[in-house]
Amino acid sequence: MPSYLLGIDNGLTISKAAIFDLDGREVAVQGHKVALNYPRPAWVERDSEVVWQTTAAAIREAIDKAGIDARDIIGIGNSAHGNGIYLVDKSGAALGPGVASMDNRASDIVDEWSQPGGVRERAFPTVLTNIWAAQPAALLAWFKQHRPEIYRQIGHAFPCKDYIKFRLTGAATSDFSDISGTSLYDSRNRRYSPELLDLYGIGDILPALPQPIESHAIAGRVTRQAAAETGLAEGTPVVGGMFDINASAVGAGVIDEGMLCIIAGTWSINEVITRQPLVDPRILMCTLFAVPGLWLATDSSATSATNLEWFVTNFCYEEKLAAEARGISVYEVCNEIVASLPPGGTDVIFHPFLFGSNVQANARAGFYGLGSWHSKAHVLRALYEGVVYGHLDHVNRLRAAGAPMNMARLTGGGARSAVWSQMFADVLDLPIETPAATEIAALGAAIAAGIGVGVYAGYDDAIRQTVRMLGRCEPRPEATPKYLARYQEYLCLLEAMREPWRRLEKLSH
Amino acid sequence: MTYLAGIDLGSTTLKAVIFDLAGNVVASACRPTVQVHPDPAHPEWTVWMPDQIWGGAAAAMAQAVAQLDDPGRIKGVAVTGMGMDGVPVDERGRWLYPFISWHCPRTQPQFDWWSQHITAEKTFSIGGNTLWRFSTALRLLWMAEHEPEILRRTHKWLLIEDYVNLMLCGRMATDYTMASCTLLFDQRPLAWSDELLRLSGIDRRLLADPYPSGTLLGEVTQAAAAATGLSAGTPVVLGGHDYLCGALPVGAIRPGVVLDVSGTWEIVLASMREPVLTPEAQRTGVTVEAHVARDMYAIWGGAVSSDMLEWYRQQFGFEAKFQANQCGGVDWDFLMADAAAAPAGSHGVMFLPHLSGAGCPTVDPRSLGAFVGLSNRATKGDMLRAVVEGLDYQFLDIVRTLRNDLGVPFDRLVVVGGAAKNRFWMQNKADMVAGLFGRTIEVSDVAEATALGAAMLAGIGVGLYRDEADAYAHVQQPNTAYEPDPLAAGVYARLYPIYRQLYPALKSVSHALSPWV
Repeated sequence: MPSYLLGIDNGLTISKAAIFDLDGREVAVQGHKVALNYPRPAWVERDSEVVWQTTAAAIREAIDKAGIDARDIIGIGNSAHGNGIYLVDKSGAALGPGVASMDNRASDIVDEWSQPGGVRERAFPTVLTNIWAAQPAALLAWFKQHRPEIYRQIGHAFPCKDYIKFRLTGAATSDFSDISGTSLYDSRNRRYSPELLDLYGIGDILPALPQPIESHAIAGRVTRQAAAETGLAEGTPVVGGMFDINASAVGAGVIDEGMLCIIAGTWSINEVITRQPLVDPRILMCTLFAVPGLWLATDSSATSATNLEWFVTNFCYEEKLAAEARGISVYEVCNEIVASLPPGGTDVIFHPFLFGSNVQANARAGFYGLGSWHSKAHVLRALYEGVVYGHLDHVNRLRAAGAPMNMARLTGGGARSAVWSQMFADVLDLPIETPAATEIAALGAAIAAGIGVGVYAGYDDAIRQTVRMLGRCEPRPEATPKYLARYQEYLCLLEAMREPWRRLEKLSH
Repeated sequence: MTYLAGIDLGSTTLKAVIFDLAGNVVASACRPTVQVHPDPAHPEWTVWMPDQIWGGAAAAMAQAVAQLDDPGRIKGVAVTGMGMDGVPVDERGRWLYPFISWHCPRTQPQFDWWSQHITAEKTFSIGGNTLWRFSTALRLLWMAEHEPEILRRTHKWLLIEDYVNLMLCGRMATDYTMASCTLLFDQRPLAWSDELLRLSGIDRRLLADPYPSGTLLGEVTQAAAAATGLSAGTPVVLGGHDYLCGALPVGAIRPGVVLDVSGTWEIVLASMREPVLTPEAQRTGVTVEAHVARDMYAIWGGAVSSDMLEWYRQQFGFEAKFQANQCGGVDWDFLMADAAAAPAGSHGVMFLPHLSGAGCPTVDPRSLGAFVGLSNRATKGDMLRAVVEGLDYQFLDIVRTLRNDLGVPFDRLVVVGGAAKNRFWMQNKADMVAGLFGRTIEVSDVAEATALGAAMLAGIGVGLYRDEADAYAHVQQPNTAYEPDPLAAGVYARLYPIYRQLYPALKSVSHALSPWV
């Protein structure tokens, strides 16, 4: 009897279901977009029911595509974007739309908390995370202040993947990786802290917070109703699952101290495994890793490979036609163009801030150092380099906090490009490995399921059996100094643009 | 019918245009201007061959004249063009060395020497010049150093227009505007500067005597008649520098009228009665020089302009070209439709138009360009609109410098040149000028303004027009007025101060990245 594992990955824009065999080979994957809704300025929502229905459809279609018997799926793991919040009432029904992790409605609360000596500083030693507006701590405080009638009805306040798990099994649990990133949890002592909740003014929320279990522990089994909606077999075990940035690390085989996992997608996510918590207020998050006994230090921003999508949408019609004619992707054509220039082959500098920034909030993207002798190839290469410099900012913060690092694994859209991967190696001055699998986070979730149902002895064993690398790039000693010289100018430009950015923001209001 | 002819010696074309007295083009023809790289050991060296320049201009004229029933109807001819580039000739008028082109970088050491020993400040205080690497006097210095034997045999060093005049009528002379681009002319007495000649060690006898534009110089010789088709004896009148000639047909020769010559370069030009040769003026990068209009001076600031739109089109214009091929039309129409669809202010995208360095008023060859303020809302239309807006902010900077820093009166603004045909661009300029100065702009669609200006000088020289004002009254055409959009004007008034911050903010990084030392 063949056996399979199902990994579910709910990103911010796509719900995916991927079925793997026990060697980690992808048998079928199905994904559907879920709209982000912007009902008011600063609000970013996803309809909870739609998220569930879309996920259920993706599961059903993946099973069909694989042409397997659903009963051969022996375990299910969930991963999803962290933070934001999905509320259900005391009957278990969705309580309003889910809030996405880039929502900014609670920014006033966070601003108030950020006063010297305020809530942020006092909470930090417990939560080890820099509170931001889309974290459940801030969102729950916002609901209590601004929507008390909703707040009163809260039965469970879930991270995204736990809401899906709740719909699959009826069980209300979280896991340590997700809950330790919410600013609601005392990670060192592995407990909810009533003092902390009181500090936020939401001491009464405690009964609604899901209890974390290990990512690979069985949380429940697929209910009859969920089976009907998804095509899964009733009773299939579902494990605790994990925050997607953990799932990506696990799926990339990053489970040892000194390994860096870089996700170059919409977000520039840079995370490193440590044995002791890496406590530094300059770093975004220090959370419990899905693999017991380890910690994950993460620094991130919305500054990565998606910048290229914008460029391709606007400026790469010629490349799209060329790609169609050759039967390859437009991104491969872009890679060829970028590779046609030598390392440090452009004096043009790009700040990758089209979708967000990792400096001041009003920072915007830009191309600098343009001369009439530069071509589109120079501009495109600058974009690739700028994205890597954005990652370098984060990696340097992790380094400054004392994170040990001896190699990195690169996933996300950027990992599909050999020239980009080499650039990461040269700029970060680290060997870069790129995993062979495409659905890394789903694989990470499926690995946890496999451990939970006993097909793997543990994470080491599972990764040995399922995770394979596609390539490895060594940093080139002749290239690194050229890139770092350019990076110094990139940094100078951050300073230079501080005031123009501030004034541009003021005008657009 | 009575006609006048203008010859325009441009960097890419040599044009001959024949006009009636109302300024209508009766016939025209052109030949390419051929760049020659004469020395394999110095592949970057660039010259114009005197025989090609004269031969091309004469052939163009012959072709234009052939379209008339009687060449005798042409009552006068004058030459305009690029200036700067000169040729050594012997006593019999035979050339001894080709024109060193303004494209040619060979005079960098002489430029450095002049900057150090004579200085830009001193030069401006006498001649009103901005120092360019290709300024005429630097070629004389180069020749003294590298080809002293040729210089010893040289009778006169003639500028390109002066050389064509010599070929037309056999006389060696120059006009004030050509003399002004040599670095050796004194603007106050309108004579060669003894001080600058002494400081540079250049011999006065090499320079032709200067006269005002519109002076009758001579008559077309038999040989020139054979080459050009003009009748022997046709009066030859001194023309002048091209952008100054362009001011005549639009009447931009009175104080208060500002002329915007908008093309590859943008030159913002005003006229005044006295030359302003102060250190303050010098620091803004303006040029002050004799005008082709009698007893007037020109003051102008310039910067590279539509060259940057061309760059954008080359690098990012494929889709528009493709659309034009599919749907008919030209790519510019599709590009400009994209730009016009973007809102004023381009969703916060701004462009610093320094792809070839900064011109007036912040002369800095090492400045570099930038797109700033990009967000995911920005489209290709925003990017292109930002380029046009950036060029117009640059234009506002020049106007502002002339008006606020140098006290140039500003009542009317007339735009001429290649960009005047671009309606979107002109509307944008109108919105900006309204936002910053509360003025409207007029766009002239006079054809061949530069050659017409030369023809007008020919007409003045032979007495067909009384003076510049009378000539203008004859050729005057209504300009197109552009109504500013008050909302856009408001947006630009708010964004302009941010634009002004960009150069100082980015300067040090640009200098670090610049390939120019």
